[in-house]
Amino acid sequence: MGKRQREEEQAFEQEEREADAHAGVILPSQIRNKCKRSEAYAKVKQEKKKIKKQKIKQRDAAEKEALELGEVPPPRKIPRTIENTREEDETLAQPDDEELQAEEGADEFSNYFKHDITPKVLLTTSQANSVPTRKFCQDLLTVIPNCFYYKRGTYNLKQIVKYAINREFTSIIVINENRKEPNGMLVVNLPEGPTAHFKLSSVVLSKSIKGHGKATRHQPELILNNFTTRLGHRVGRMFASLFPQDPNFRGRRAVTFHNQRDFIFFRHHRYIFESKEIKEKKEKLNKVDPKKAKEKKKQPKEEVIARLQECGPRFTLKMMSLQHGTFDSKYGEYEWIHKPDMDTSRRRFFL
Amino acid sequence: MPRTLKVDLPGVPRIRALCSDSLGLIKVIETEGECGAPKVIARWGDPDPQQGVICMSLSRDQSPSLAVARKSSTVDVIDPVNGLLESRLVVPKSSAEVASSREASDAVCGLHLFSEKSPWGKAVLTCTELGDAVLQELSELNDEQHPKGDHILSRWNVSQTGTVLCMAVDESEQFAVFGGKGVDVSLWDIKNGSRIWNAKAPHRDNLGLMSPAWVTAVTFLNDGHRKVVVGTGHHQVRLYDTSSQRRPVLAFDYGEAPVRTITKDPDGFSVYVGTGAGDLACFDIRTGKLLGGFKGKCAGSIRSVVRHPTLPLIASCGLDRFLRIHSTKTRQLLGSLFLKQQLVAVLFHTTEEKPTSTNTTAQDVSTAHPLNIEPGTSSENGENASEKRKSKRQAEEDQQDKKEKKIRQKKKLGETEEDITTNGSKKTKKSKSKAEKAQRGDPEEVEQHPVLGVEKVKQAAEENEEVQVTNGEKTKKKKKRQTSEADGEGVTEIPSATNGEKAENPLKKRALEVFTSNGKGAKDQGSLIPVKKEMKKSKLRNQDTDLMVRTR
Repeated sequence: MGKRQREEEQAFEQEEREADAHAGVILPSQIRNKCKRSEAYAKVKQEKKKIKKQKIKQRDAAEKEALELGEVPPPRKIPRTIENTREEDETLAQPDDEELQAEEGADEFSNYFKHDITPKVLLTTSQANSVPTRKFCQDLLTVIPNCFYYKRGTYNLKQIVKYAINREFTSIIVINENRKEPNGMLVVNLPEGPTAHFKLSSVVLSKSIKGHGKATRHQPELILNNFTTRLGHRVGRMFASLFPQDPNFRGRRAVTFHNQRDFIFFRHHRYIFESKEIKEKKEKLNKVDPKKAKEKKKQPKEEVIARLQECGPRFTLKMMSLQHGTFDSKYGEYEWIHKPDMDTSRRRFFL
Repeated sequence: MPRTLKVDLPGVPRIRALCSDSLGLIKVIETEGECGAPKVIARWGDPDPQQGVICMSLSRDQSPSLAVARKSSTVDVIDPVNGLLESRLVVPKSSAEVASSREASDAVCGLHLFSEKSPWGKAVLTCTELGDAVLQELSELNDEQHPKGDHILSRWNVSQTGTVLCMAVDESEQFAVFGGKGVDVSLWDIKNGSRIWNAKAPHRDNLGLMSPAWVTAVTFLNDGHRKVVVGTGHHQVRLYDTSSQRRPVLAFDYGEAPVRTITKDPDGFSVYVGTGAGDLACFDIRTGKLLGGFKGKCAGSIRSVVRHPTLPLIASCGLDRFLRIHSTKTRQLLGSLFLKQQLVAVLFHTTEEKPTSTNTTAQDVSTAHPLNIEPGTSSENGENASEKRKSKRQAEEDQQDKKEKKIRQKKKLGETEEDITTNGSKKTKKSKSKAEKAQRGDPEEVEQHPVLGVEKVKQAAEENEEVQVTNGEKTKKKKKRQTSEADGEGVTEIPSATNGEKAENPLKKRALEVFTSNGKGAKDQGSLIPVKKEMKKSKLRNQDTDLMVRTR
């Protein structure tokens, strides 16, 4: 390398350094060479990780110290999520609301909640249906007690509604399919409505769930999570009215409708309570007193834990509309219908 | 940092609204200060689903009272200031035979509370789904808050079949219009319970299908009882002119969900249409054009829309349990309020002295541009006016049909019209001559010159006048015309008169365009005139209408 070249390079480097000092740090995204850029980025990332680890260490240490000193440890920060930064919603239902109670005491589901009627569900598919849909229906039949599958045939839905009302069904579930995949679910409450239309996605049949259990015929317990708004209440009540109100706790079956960000996740589990020994790490350290250790081994600490086994199916629902009255998509009146201008914020939820 | 706060709404000017719901509650909503968010300040009644409100009506008195029809077939008349019960009456039930043979129920579907000035004093008109229309006098309450007895002034049956769904009473409170599922629109004289007019089913569509009658919303326009706007379950909005024909004058579709409510605007031509899928829009009923939709995340069916009598506001409510207040000018959402129940009806309660809406329109017009209507056009009375309208319509239809011929004619006749300099004066001439035609009672003459179109007809008529008639009146009129030409004010004022006339008169679209643009032209004339002068007179006629549309 010639002297001149070296000098040039040095000058260039110095220039660069000066530029650095002038404009602060060059961001990795400002580097044009991809190799260099990714290197620089990796460095930045590593540093960030380091800082994070340090922070956690500091926090843990502070907590430990506080505990040792018998103080109350500083409260942990709550991470910001989309749900807990949800837009303020005035429609949240207050359980002590007199008007809410009065309305729920007289709405379409009140007969069910008064134990006046037991649910009886008619399950059917869209007119053109294929094996996956029917298999999904089969799975649903194991989930919902007192549920009857009817071949759809060429009947239109309004006819089926009439038929079902005459046979004293309390709800109709229609599974719609597209390209041989179930993609929609319609739940009609009888005899007066309402009718809810859901988008159905992420369907996993029981069979394809690893280590799935087979559901028993006991009546399941129902868990409805996070149906907090007025509309959510209504939808939750609608789901509730598909299942009998007296669960058989012996069967240890639980059906969950979990609402998160307006997506309703359906899961079906069997649970079991097992007593389990608690492993104590400190025992190993106290090898000095073998007698004590033996005593402890004779009386292992037991803890009751719940174990879950999924029975399936699994699926996710998203409500598209809630219609007043029984199914009438053309001339019906909607209580709630999804519209594009509702999607202007990610933090706005309706259920 | 994500946006976690809601965007604040602009706020609502000081209003007082009453909103009723399916639990029979009436909530009073007011805004604090000059501009703020609406708030519930009072709640009347106890939640009872049996007492659910079906419809509400506010009388048109200076200190109005409020009538509320409930599911239990009772009508409560309430003081809208403090919510105290003034009187109560029970809607008589139809005979069991009638009820058993039909699907419809005894539920009340329409309610109107008459003002004290009305021919029957304080009275209530109700209509049940079975079509049983009853006019009852209000009576004082006895000790146990029960009515002393029903004072039925008149009672008639609107329809033997179908289900009546809606009812409206006109400004003069002498006529009512009914409609429903299987019940086409019909206009009734309340006094003697006789049907004056009923609609004919519209023509078959391009598939040769008839749509069965299904009227879901109805309202009178601000024009006596002549114009009725109707919304159907087949998502159609129709305009009926009861004085002209039995089929709709104008019909257009809106959206894909059934129309649930229609409300008129005091300006006389715009209507607000709410549908079952939560769409709310404003239409110009003269042309059927969509003026604009109202946004605001309306999620559920809109059951009721009201226009504020003085402020440019509308309030809407429905199954999504929200009361929303929009500006009619910007169509922006000004405020919304969650009211917990499925809402049925909303009303604006204004304690201020307000003129009836027909008057307001008239006044508005007059304040905007003071009218000096010529005697010929201004002195319209009833039938004469309708005749005029007819003849005008014919003339205008002809104008459309024979446009080309007209143009040719114009070229020939253009010379004579050159005298008339401005656009406005031409129009005045046109309207005047038309009026003269109608008054003379010879619409045939208008028909005799279909080729000439309106302007030609007018010309011809005037020529006729000169030749045939030499009596004083005609010459006077002519003089007047000339004077109107002479002073600029007269020219600008007169188009507004024709516009006013037009607003009443729903005509073919093209004709309307001409007229509406004419009305606006009154302002733009300064800009119009120089453009015109440049053009050749023969071309001028041709481009007349187009130009006005453009300037509009």
